Amino acid sequence: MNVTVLNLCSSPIDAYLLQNYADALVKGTQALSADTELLVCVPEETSALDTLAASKYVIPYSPVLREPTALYTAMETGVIRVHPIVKTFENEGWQHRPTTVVTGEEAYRAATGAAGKLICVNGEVKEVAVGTALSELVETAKPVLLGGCNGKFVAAAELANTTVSLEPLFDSIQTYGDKDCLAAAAAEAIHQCVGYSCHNCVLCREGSWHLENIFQSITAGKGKKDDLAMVEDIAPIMQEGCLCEFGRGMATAALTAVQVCRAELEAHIVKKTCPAGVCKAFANYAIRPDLCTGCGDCIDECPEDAIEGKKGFIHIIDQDLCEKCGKCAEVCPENAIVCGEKFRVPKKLVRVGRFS
Amino acid sequence: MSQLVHLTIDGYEVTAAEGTTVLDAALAAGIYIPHLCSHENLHPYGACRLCVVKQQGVEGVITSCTTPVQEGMVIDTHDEMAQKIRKLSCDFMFKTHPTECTGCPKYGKCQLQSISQYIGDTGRKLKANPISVAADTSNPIILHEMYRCILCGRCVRACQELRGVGVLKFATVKGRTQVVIDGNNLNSAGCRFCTACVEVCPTGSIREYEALAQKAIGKTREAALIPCKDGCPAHVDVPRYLRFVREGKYAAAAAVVREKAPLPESLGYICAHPCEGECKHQCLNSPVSIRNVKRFAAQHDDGAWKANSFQKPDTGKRVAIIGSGPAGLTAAYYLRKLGHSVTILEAQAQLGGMLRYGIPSHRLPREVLDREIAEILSVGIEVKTETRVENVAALMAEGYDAVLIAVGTHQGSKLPLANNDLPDVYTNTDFLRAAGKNEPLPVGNRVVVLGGGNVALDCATVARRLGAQDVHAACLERYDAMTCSDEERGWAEEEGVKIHPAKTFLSIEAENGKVTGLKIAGVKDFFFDAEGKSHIELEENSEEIIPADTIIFAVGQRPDLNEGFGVELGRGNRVTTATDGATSVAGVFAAGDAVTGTKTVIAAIAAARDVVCAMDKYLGGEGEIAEALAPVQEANPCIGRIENFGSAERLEPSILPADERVKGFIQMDFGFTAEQAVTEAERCLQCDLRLQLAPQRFWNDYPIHEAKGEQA
Ligand code: SF4
Ligand code: SF4
Ligand code: SF4
Ligand code: SF4
Ligand code: SF4
Ligand code: SF4
Ligand code: FES
Repeated sequence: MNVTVLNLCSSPIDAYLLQNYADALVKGTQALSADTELLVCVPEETSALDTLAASKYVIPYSPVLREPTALYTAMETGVIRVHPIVKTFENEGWQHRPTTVVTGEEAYRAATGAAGKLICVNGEVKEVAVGTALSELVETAKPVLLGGCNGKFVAAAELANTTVSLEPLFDSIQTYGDKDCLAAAAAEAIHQCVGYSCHNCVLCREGSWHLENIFQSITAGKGKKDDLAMVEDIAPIMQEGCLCEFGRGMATAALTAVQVCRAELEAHIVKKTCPAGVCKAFANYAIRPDLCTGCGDCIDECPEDAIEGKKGFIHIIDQDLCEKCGKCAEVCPENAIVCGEKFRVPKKLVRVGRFS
Repeated sequence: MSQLVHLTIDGYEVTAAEGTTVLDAALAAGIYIPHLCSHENLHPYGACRLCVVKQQGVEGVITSCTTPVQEGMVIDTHDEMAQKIRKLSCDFMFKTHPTECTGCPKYGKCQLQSISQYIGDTGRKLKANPISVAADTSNPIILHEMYRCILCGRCVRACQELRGVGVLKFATVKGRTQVVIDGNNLNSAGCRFCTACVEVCPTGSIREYEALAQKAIGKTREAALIPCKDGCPAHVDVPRYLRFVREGKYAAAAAVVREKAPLPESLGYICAHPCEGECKHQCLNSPVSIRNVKRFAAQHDDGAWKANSFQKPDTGKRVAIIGSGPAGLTAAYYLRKLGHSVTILEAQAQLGGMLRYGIPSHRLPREVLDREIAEILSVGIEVKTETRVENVAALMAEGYDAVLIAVGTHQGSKLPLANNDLPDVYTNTDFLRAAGKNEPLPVGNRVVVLGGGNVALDCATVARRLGAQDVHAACLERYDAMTCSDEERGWAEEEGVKIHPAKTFLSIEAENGKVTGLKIAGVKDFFFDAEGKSHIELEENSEEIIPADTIIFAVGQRPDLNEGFGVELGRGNRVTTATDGATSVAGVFAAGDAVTGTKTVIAAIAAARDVVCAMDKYLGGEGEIAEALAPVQEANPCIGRIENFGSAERLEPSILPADERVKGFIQMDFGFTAEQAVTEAERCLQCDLRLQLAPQRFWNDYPIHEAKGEQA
């Protein structure tokens, strides 16, 4: 008997379908796979699909599993690893039987007749007609991340020219606001990639480490001038040279981050600030001498004993001790504690109102 | 026959069989494409990214090690992007790698190093990302220094795909992928110590310990990889016959031995087994009991090999062989098979030389010896016993075209001690020869043998069997430096022979012309000075007398030859020969103990085979005696995982209890049962399987690239 594998482990859409449309998945898979043996790959144990009477494989979520050979090795050995040639659904089939792999979305579409693309917009899944411009879906001034950690950063201006297709790149859209740091977003994406990479090929395994290293040093305030040039040097080579689409996608994410988020990245590297105030390394809490009333609430709150002050005196934060937790700013009744602003502060205790 | 596919690589027209990869096709055509994770014997992996090339009409690059050839493909291996990818991959690998090759034992034979030279350094300022894992020296034979690992996966694939063992795997350790053992250590995990992982590792990460690697220096690949076969003077293919035994094909196993040595069963009883001294299983616990398995196989010989044994047409040449020990018999056998007519001239009444007149019958049953000699003679050899040759020239004058001197060392010597000429003082050779003839020399109740080699112990154990109750063996060497085998010494001691190591002999005590004892003293130190003179430092007040009625000297033996024999003799009366065995007289050759001094039976056989080649050439032949007697063997490389395989203990044959065996000259060693033989053969690590793997090649092994010289 032929085999059909329902792969629910490689797209953010899968979890949503499993939770909300298990029935449709069952119906759709059955429609697609009449007279075949069904094997289902799920990221965690679930009874939602039990009516399918299929064998279940529990395999952790990873975008690498879009690679059929990775899915094959994972099903066979439990280890996600891209493994060209040796065993593939295409060449030898699962246990030497002709095998088809179906994604959750394909099953859903078969069951519902839906023609649109399911897209996870900032965590919420919507069905969108193919061909829709992204500018109709989201409104943002900052670049967005398409397709998750191994996807692509797209500049806001380009959203009108980018239209939805059925590609996995459109599985998700993440937008960023004023309070979101794009450097941190890029670092987080690459960090996830390091975790997902199957580590088979040198370019992806080592390249992801180097990219993560670069983006993390940027967000940690240790970025150097040539960091962005290094990404622009190695990422295009990785885009061509990685063994599978996952690694190439990761390189694309890193490269587009540099291309479309350059200003924000450079602010981290050159000006040593995080414009969104997200990257803790740059956070620099200070007490505005003109607003402080010397109440002392912040001293009680500071876990590091980093605040010096006496009733009626302007309080001072010792920058060497401050761990940038921001708790003082939360309790200050006068909103006198601010982050990332520049002004003069007293060097020793001065009575409220006496500092100029 | 698969279809041929035509493609163009770097402008060269290349033809390859359908199903091969672009990389294979290029390499076969002499065009080098860098590659590291690919290995001729393993499935492609696509991991190193070095082999990427440009295919005309295809976007991006293709991975040549995973892409099958297609008709009409046009490949450019020097494509710009491909080169960039290789360089980046190389940069990345070296960022995880020690910065210096100096001190790495793989230096000079490392594929990574070689490739980095080929690809060159880009000088990219990437951060170092070294693998911090300590060397694992806890496993025998195999050393893991995974801080040099580049994760090419060749070891993992070799262990899994080729060997079916799978004790090496990838695992994530502290967030990093590493090659680890699937268990606590190799042995408990089920490693078979086949060292395929060592063979395929392109870097210095998985290696054999230096002590083992050093042994390989200067040897051929085969000799280095199969130490037992290399250690055997005749180079009997040990792993091949052990494999036949495991498969239950005992006669085929015997035929393998016969390819290199007649007398296989006799060897099975008494061979000094230098092969075992080299066997790699020693690194785990103790060597495979190769000789006992051989003996079992030889006992199950069905003679089927005879159908494959060559016999050349008669040449009309006549050869005389003086002496019928292992060297003489072996030479006679092969010279006859080469078509020469052969006459053996033996001074004694029966054939066998030292096998009969040196080695006592309780160690080598005479039926076995007689049967094997008859087998040799059956090829048509004339035998003249009780014929002592006094002069070579006279013998040649009888019309022989060539003569082989294989007289062994049948003359014992005595040390210059007072009373050494008394009738109760014997030499080893006289004593053992008499025993071999069944006319033993009389011994008293108390016997002292002087000497610590196997012959000395033979004298002692024969004396025991002749009724002596109190038998001693004294020697100059320390106990642990005695030249006898541990096995023989163990047996002798079980039989009550008392060993006195590190002793010097002062005098033979006598009264009224009768021996009463041997005066000895303890030796603190003994050494040879620059001139080769021995110096002995005595222990104070250590003199003692071992009471004795009979004294036997077993302190060396030499060929029973003199000046009148007519060939040049050298030190110790040994026949002087050129390396091919030719003596000072044209047409006269010599081999065996008569040339080398007392050595082993197998060394005499090996020497005889060599001299036969030289003699055959001298007589106008080709000197070719190699023959395939055993059926073809398909060694299955997929050996499977066996937990604690390396801990299997060496089996010992059943030996008659000491008090039984001293009662007479009865067989004492009953060898292996079939079950034992198979079980013991299963201990073999099959070191020869590694020969099935392609040796590692380097870019400068491929010609076309050199000719083009396109790359820095
Ligand atoms: S690019 Fe390479 S390491 Fe990354 S997931 Fe694909 S095969 Fe694995
Ligand atoms: S809590 Fe605010 S107002 Fe009060 S002492 Fe601290 S900074 Fe000043
Ligand atoms: S493994 Fe090779 S490249 Fe690495 S240090 Fe040793 S010789 Fe050099
Ligand atoms: S079984 Fe062979 S290949 Fe596998 S680890 Fe042991 S020695 Fe290496
Ligand atoms: S140990 Fe050697 S063969 Fe194994 S993955 Fe590392 S470099 Fe490759
Ligand atoms: S393990 Fe086997 S092949 Fe290896 S040396 Fe010993 S007998 Fe020979
Ligand atoms: S040899 Fe082809 S990827 Fe390593």
